[in-house]
Amino acid sequence: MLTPAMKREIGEICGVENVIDSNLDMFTYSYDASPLPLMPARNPDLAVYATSTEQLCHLMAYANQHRVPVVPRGSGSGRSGGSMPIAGGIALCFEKMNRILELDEQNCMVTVEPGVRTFDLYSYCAARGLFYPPDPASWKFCTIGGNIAENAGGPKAVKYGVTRDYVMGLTVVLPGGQVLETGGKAIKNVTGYDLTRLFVGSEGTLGIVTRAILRLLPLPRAQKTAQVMFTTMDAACECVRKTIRSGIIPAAAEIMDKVSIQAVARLHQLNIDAAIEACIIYELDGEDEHSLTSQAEGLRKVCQECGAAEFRLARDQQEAEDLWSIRRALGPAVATLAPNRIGEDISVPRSAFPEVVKRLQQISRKYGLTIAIYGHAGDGNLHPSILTDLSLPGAREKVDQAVAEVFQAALDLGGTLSGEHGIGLTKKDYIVQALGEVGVATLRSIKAAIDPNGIMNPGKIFS
Amino acid sequence: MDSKLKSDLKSLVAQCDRCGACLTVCPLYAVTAREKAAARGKNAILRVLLDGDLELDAGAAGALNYCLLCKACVVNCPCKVRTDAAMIMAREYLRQKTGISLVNRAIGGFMKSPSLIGFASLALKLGRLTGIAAVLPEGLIPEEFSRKEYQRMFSGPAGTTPAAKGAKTAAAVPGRPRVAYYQGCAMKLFFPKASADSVRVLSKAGRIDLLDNFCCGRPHQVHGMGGDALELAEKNIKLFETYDIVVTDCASCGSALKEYAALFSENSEWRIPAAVFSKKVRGFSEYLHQIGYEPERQAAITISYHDPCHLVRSQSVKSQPRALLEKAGHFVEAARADMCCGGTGTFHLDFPEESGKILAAKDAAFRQTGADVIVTECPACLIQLAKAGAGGACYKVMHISQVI
Repeated sequence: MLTPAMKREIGEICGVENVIDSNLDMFTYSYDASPLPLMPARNPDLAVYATSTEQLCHLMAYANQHRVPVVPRGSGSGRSGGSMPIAGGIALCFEKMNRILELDEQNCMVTVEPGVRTFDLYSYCAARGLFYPPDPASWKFCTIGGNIAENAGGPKAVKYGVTRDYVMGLTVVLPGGQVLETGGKAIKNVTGYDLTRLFVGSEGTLGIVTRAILRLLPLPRAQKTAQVMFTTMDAACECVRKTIRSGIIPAAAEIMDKVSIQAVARLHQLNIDAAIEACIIYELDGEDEHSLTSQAEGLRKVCQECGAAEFRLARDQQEAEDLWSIRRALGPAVATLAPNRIGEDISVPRSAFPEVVKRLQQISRKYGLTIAIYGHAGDGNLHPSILTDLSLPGAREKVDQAVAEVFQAALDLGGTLSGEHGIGLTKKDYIVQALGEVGVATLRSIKAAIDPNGIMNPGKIFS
Repeated sequence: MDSKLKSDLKSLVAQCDRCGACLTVCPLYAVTAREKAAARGKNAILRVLLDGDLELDAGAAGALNYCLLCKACVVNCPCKVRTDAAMIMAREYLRQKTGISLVNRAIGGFMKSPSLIGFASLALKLGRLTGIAAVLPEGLIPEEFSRKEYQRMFSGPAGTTPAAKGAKTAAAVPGRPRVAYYQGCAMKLFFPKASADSVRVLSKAGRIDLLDNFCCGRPHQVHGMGGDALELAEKNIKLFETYDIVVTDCASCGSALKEYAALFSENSEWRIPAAVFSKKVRGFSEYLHQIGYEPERQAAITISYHDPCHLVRSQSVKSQPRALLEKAGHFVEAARADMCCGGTGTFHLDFPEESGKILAAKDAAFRQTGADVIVTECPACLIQLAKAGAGGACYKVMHISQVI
């Protein structure tokens, strides 16, 4: 709990215009986009706008000395509770650190502040013929800082990898206020431990990223989007596997089950045949129309072999964009089906995808819970969404049991708890199960070494 | 306490998935960077307020009033959460729970009676003459340019192309739809010249009747007096019963009138008349475009357009004014033309600082276009935009009826 005197001191350090503490404001920094209930709210004591590395050095030195928890927050669009200030303290906001600092075209790298929105960065680069591939569904509003903290993925991971694969170097303010520079623009770099990768996906528990050097690719010149319908989920899963085996690496291969398809149909007033059990949205990209056309032909053949009920190529950019906006809005669309949606984020080896879908369907039947299944079939990351009304008696317990079984299914098949959302609060009870005692002990010792007083985003990932 | 209102409101805000998509489009979030300014914050506040987990104090009430009702979040929302409707209902809920503030009551009463409006209109004219305008809130009396002044300014002999001739007749044709002009309170009060120009333009396309209509009810609705809004709606529906088309040059009135159908959807007596009425309503440019109206002349000036929220999002009227303006001058699209100008309702009076910041962003975009005239179709936008452009030095702000 911060005393009024401490708030004043922090105001002096950070600038009074960068500090807010009204009760109502504090409530609005207590939540994120996770399904955790709004109440009881665990408000921060103070919200602070980060403005510079220097400001944060002073702030962190003060916080460390006075043991004040600090919780970085981008757009609050995280799905695992990572930015919820459960131990009070400071919610650190990045709206004022949203500049693209440098575009280095010679090295194809861009240097940004953490508050830059992912889509804004993508658009900035695309306008210059460059490509920043990671594209989480929330890319229009999430920030690069949050993407780095959660190691965000997205549909394009199947071909282009995830945020981690594009972070070359970081400037990090450590809990004591020191500034750590990791990595750099050299592509080959084995000087010391790979601290860049340590901070990517650390969920704000180790330090505050204030600057990131990101690698870019040349922007693919042409894209094609296809929507393929199947009458069985098995056939759809098989199709993704066969497509990749045939040598066509799609830029994205997104799958959705019947519940998801019908949720979209309901929201967009579409009429979709009830016999359709699964849909895949493929994106192909390439250097030119010619290579793309032959890829598309190959894809059509594979889909036909797998018994696709319908294969439709988007006729133009607008149609492709419409398909993608539907896919990106799938989580919220599914959420409108029931009072509560508990969205998970398990990830399995691609080969285990059909099996994990079967097990999810078994869990759905066992507990009598509707589970919408959609996700990134191309990379084995899927988002089973349990739909329920948590205000009903016994619902919470039933959901908890179902979630535990979902995680167990993923782990049994060689997968893991989270592909791209992070562990945060919602999955930390299962972390030992996933990583083992030794794994978690190693995380703890790293945490203790960097943040001995435990002020950085306390209570996340592990207890 | 209206328990249905509460449960409707609850189910509306429960649709919010808290994803954060609204943060990128909310004009208030853009200028404040405060979570509580964006739809997600407001919906979360409302949610815990309705559950009794948050105390209904001035701060919470303030947050629910702190909304432009511009619908930018609504059209961008993956869950299609109608936050503007939620805020309007929340204000009704606040009024029922806490009683209405004196200021709001005064505004509401003021707008309710046509005779009072007439009186106020007169007072305003007197104000202009005697200079007592200074006692009115700043910005409430905008400088108004009439069509005649516009033509004098921009349509010198070299600057005009011949008008299309003979296409329109003024005589009423038997069997032709009966068309009425709906005059909004703000058009009547603040823009009588523009209002007269609207009637003149409409008359060129045929007979247009002017009625002594009632306020559309929007001001009452947004200030938590939904009951009064319903009363006014019933009166308007009756008044225009014998007409086929009702045209209004006020975006806000137009959207309110078109929403009567939804307003009475569960009222067995008024459901059908309201639905019939709403179908008759057209926005000014929407109507003119529909009947194939051609602007009189193409002036050698650059025109840009500001989309009123209540036209572009509430009524999906976007291409029609542009099509008309392209024939009235050299049309240049402004960046984010559909972003709210911050002048909605009484927001610019209640929160002048934020309103000013939003306006500054619009102003910068307008200056980029190099336009001589910024056109819009809403009196609230006109009042607000008239404050930009260095008070007319960079560009004039006019109602669309004055340039086509």
